[in-house]
Amino acid sequence: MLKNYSLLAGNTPTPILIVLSLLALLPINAVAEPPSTTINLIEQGQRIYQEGTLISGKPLEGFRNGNATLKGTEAACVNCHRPSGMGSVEGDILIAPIAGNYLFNPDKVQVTNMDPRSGKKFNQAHPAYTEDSLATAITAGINNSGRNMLALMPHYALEKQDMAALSAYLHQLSSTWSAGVDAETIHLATVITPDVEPQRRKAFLDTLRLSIIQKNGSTATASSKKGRHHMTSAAEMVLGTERKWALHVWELQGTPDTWTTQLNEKLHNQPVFALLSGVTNTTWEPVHNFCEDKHIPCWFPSVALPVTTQSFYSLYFSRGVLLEADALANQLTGTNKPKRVVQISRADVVSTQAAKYLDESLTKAGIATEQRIIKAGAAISAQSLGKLTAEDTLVFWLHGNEWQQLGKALPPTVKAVYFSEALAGGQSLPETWRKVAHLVYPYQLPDKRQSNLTNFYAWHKMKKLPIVDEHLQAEAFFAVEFLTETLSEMLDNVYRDYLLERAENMLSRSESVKSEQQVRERQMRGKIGTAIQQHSTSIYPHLGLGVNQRFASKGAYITHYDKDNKLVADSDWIVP
Amino acid sequence: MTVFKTETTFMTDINSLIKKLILGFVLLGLSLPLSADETQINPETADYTLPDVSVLRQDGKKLDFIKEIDDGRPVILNFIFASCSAICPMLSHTFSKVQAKLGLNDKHAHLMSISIDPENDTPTKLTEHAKKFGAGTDWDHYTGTTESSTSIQKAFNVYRGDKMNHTSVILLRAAPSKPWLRLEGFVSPDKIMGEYDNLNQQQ
Repeated sequence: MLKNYSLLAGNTPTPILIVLSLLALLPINAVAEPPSTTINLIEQGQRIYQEGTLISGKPLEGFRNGNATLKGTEAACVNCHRPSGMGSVEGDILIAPIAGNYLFNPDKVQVTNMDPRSGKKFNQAHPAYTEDSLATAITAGINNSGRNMLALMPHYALEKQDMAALSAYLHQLSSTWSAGVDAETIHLATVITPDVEPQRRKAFLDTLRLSIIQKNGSTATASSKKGRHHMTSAAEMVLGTERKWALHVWELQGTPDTWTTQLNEKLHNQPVFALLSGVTNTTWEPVHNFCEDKHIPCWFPSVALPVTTQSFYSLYFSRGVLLEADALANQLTGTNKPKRVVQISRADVVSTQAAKYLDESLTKAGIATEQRIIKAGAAISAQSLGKLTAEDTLVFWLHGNEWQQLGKALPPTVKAVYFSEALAGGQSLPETWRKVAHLVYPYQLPDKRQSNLTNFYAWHKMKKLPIVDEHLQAEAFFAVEFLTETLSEMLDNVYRDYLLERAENMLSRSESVKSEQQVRERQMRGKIGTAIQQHSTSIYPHLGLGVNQRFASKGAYITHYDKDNKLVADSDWIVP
Repeated sequence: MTVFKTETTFMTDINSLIKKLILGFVLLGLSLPLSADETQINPETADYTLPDVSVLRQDGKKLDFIKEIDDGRPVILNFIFASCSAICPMLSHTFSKVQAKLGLNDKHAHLMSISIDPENDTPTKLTEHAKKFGAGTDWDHYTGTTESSTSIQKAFNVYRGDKMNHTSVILLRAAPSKPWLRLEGFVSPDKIMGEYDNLNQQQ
């Protein structure tokens, strides 16, 4: 699918390129639909760029001196230059941006790809490429300053027609800001599904709204330079690329099968650059699919059951209950296997899918299993758990708001009892069950995360916001912070694909830098001793992504309450 | 139809010219870290104290790292991660070529690729990765915990704080207790084989 046309008419490939080159130099305020021949050319170029398939259908071939001949997808430009064409930084290697503006538009080649790793290297000024110099770079590895390019850049065998197609694709790639963005404002939406409890909904929105108000309060846009700068870099200040955010709250109604229509309508009425955070107790699939379909980044929603098929536009904190099920399977299939595992869930999609998923792993490991589903509306009591023996292991996939009901019943005599913390929703286990139950815990342990969340706690205290659901609010807080930082580093390159690529590349690095900085600040204020280690600014022990990685935290603890009512780990950090 | 706007061109704006000048002077820090020219690669000899940690091989086996690396075979080692899109595929291609060249050599080396993104690179993912580059029986991939991977990286002085800061390093050793040879930068399979043969002749 093609995005962001900024092209005008042309009938044959060569004149098109001339027109394109000229157009790239002009401000574009009105966009005409390109004719089908141009679309064809761009689509052909897109296949070369993204899939490594030439116009003839043969695989693209690239040759690295002394190393290897790359073919097809392996040789595709997208591997290194990324979907946005904005390049990336790996170690001391700067992979240059090759999106239209940076190749062909001398006004815009100046500043790009700011990256704390490469320090000052973000000045990318170079003469504009012509069709000939681009061909020399791609086929012979010599850039338009006459220098040999890095050994990493293969030399490609491209026919003239393939070059023309690739060039046409590059001309329009990331050439205009994505929808939902103007010179001063970035429009964002957050999605809340109708099943979310009013108290959690309010806490979530308060955290989100107030942190955005604060962000905007310290944002000086190009036209309004008043106020305290939020800027994180000299480039941002000099270029005046800061933007205020407008948050649109998209509250979905009715059943999940109607959500896609609602989302499409909301997007039609208000284009947004990305979905920021979001919350549900039930399925997130319609929202996930909407983001994939519309190519909209879905930035760290708080969901217990994310969609795990490989996709590009959604970033999640973790795999939620599926990660818990894997961690639990890892624990249960080790030594001391249980004879039988009985899983108790409600009829809702999150808990039944978690149970089904665990069931598969346990069955594979030769453990007998049974799934018991408590009907909607039926009270939860000792009786509703059904018959159990002392050798059974009991796994509850119940939402936290149902734990209290269970608290009225005494725990049955069984081998072990497990609960899911991803479903806690701000609730804690009833006292009577704490003595026997284990919690699968995909977060940092409460006593270890105090320093990680210092800023989160202090900010909520300052804003007089109660902590209703620490997981949810800490996630929303983090989502805003990390988006602020990421957008700031993108400067004027506000493209959706680039946002995701930066998150992939920068998350773990950003986390370690930020947490080091926070420790240093606290030490300077004399708040803590030098011994305190902090590796994260989120509720997770550490977060990291990579190309096509979509789940930032990858492990869980198995925990229990000790005699002092403190949550302690029974296991190492399990990464299934 | 979506209307796209562009920023106002700042060529005509004197402020922008000043900005450009500032950027030009303050931020001009272009460095050219690499060259295709291999004469710039200087092999260094070094001794490393290796950590006593466990690692997970691509087949899921938990192994003692020191025993694994000191099994008597010559070692050629690198650091990779499966979701790395630029440098690592090149490193793995290089290993793939070295593997083929070693096949003609009577002294079989152990190729070891250690993940610097261990939480993502599960044994299953490493198996896929190994398959993609045609890794044979003498080429193993290892993962483990974040701590074990970090301690191995630190021992070899390749730890750069974050996986995305990694650089291309290849380490060779003729036998346990012999010194390591360190090659930094993009090294060709031929260069590695040349150094490898030298090391073995010095034995």
